[in-house]
Amino acid sequence: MAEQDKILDHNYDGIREYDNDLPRWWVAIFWITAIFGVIYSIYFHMPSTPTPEQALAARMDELHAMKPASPTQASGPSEESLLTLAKSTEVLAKGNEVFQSRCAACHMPQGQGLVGPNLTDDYWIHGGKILDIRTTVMEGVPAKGMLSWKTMLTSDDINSVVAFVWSLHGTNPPNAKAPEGQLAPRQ
Amino acid sequence: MNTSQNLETFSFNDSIVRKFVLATVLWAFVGMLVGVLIALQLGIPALNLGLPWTSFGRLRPLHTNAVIFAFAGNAIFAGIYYSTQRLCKARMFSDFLSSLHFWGWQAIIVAAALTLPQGITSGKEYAELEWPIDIAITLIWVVFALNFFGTLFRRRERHIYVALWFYIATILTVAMLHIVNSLAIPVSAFKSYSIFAGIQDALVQWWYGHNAVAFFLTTPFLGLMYYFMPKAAERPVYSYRLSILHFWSLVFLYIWAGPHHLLNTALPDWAQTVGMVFSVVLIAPSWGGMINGLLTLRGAWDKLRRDPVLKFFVVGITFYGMSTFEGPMMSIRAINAFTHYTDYTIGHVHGGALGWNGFIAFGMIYYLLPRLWKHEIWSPKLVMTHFWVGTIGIVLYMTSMWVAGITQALMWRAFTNEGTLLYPDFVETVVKLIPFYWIRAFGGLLYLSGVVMCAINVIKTVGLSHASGADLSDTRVQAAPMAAEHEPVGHPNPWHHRLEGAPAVFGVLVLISVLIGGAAEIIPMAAIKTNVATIPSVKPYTALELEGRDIYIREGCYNCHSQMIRPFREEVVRYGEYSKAGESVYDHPFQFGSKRTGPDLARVGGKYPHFWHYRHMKEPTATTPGSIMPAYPWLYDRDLDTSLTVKKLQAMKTIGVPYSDEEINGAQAALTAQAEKLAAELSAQGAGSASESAKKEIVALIAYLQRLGTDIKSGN
Repeated sequence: MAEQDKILDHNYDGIREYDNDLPRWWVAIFWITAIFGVIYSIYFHMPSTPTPEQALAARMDELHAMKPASPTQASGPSEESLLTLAKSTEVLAKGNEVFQSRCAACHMPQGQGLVGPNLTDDYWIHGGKILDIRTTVMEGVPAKGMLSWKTMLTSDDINSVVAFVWSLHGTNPPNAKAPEGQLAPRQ
Repeated sequence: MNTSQNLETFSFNDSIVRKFVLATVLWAFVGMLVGVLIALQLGIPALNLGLPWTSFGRLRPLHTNAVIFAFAGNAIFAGIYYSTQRLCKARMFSDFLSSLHFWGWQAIIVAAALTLPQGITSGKEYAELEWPIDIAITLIWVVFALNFFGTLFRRRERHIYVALWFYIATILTVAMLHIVNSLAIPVSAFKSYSIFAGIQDALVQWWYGHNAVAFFLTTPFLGLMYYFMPKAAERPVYSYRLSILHFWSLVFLYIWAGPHHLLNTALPDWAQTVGMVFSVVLIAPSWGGMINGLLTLRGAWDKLRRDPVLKFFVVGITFYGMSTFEGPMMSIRAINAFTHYTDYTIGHVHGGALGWNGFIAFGMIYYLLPRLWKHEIWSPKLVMTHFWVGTIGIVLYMTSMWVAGITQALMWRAFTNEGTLLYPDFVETVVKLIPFYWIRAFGGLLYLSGVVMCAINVIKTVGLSHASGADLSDTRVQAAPMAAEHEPVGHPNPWHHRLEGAPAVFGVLVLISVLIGGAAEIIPMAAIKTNVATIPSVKPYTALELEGRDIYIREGCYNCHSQMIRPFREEVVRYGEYSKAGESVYDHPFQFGSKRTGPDLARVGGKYPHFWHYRHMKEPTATTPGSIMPAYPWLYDRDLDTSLTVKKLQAMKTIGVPYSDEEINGAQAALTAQAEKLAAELSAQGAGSASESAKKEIVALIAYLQRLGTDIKSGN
């Protein structure tokens, strides 16, 4: 044990040095962190500790378990229920909002198309029935750069935006992109 | 004194210290001015000016290099040249080497300022300078080392003081880090490829990057603290035994901590654990320095009220203590999962840089100013204002970045109760941060205005000094020659005291200490194949993609976009399958990035049509309203330079990328064919004439982006 403030014989350009004892709390921090390090290393690499891959799988399962929030959404809405939604101004307003923030970048604000196809005409690449449109929005067309929205939007948002796209038919916006896909006029 | 008969008369080289002090102030202003500009660019993307050399991706490396190597570098050299001469009771070894060191270093800084805005970069963070400048750095560092060790060799003081221990560690370790991390194969005078690839390159880079913090921004500044703090306080250092213990533990442990920059990535788990554990254990060694600095003021705290130099030192040391606690906490896997890639890290490093490095440097400058120019400081009041403005600036900077980082991290991982991302558009999480970017820019502006006050005070004081005709010739002193080593009687640590009398042995022990940690991490990564599992479907880039990748590097895309998806559900849902080590085996250099100002790009390939990218790079807000990304109009005007394409493939082959001879010889034809095909597809999607765009740089960049992350998909 050094005495308090015992000055050493050192003198460097006038700088003197005490030889005070190491503060106990400082020594304690060192040992606590070192012991933590050892315990953590053992714990993390024990066979019983889930690997990052296993932890990810478990967390993904939690997400999947959340999916069917209500019984109707598990199997998806029926054609009739979607067509009914497409008549509600409230739903269409919501759908418009979603469309402008997610879809307009490629399909343009009025659905006239630019990067993505024109959504207002009678030509459809992946089917023009309202359930086809919903499938395209849900699953995307990865090969062509259409994103899959089922993990990104709630089912309410997806249904609203599908209803909105359905409502765009025949609006004839200016600067519309040339038709693509098959002619599939609505009955 | 009774030994006066054998006193030697000599002088200190003070004029070199004056030069380094002036350079420190100049580069502080330049580096931080660029910092404020790029901070504003995040709030107002129009400030990128649509010009190549003023865009964020090119200026951010200029900012970091200027602040670290120009500002902090010159401050270190000023302090080391001043204190080493006095601690050794000897003039610097060679006036020629001193001058060469000064002018060589300034020339390197100017070379950096000329090349980085042109996009001449190696693409490795904090080591962006291209190979000819790297060689110049090595040579000038050797000049510095010769000059420093030459002075130690000619010293008149038998034992070396703790400040000099830290200088020794700095000089040896920085040399080792710089040389290993800069190993590259040149393609031309302005282009080279790191000899390491992917995850190995990342490990070497962060072994370097983290220890640049340790041995360029920590050990030399601790050395400065150990000299200038007791001088300014006129008090003895608190504890010699603490100096010994924290010096050796710091030097030995720091070098292991690099992998904490790669937590939760494709780096093997064992290396991540080593990086994390050593970072946590570093708290005590780091705090040893803080304790010795702060407790030196014991019994003299009243001086703090009057002396602005001590104010700067005490706040600087306090920020050091804060940063060296925050850093280890951020090195814990679970916490890092939250803070990494966000602005939280930006707040953390600026606490260290502005608080610790900046305030120690400014305190030192105010200490040196009257002593070097033999005239009292023009305005002590302005010094005090600098202190307060600077302190408030740091606090605003850090707190705004903390809040921004936490906000964004929470938004990234928020899910709806249906298990979908609550903020699926990345840009939603960016727009939220803009108010904090404004606060940060204001904080930075305050700090910069403090630097301007410092500059004014320096200019005025130097002017007054000249006007008063102060004698600025070198300080003449007398000292006895070095005494022979004697048996230390009653010394508490005779073994270490003896070591302090033998700097060469001291240096060798330091070198061994720092080699152990680096070797233990890097050699197994290079030698053991299982650390990077190969994936058969992962193939080298085509010639066009490689050229596109070089544009990606040139524009500094890695400053804002990561290419490393971590195994977390919020990342897998947002970006796709998490990144594997085997996917980047042909990436010379790796482009994992460390910050997500924009989204991760590891799997952007095929996510959007070519035309989306075409529109996006021309005007980011056209495809992504609210985006703060700069526009890259020049990519649409410039023809792709293919004069080096064949050489690039050859260079890649030399460092292990398996290109066949046919691929190399046919590179030009293959490049043209792929560019024309892509341009035709672009044209079909609506981008206008294919023959026009096929030759442009944008096509190469799109080819590269469309390739990213697709090898695994096609393999499955």
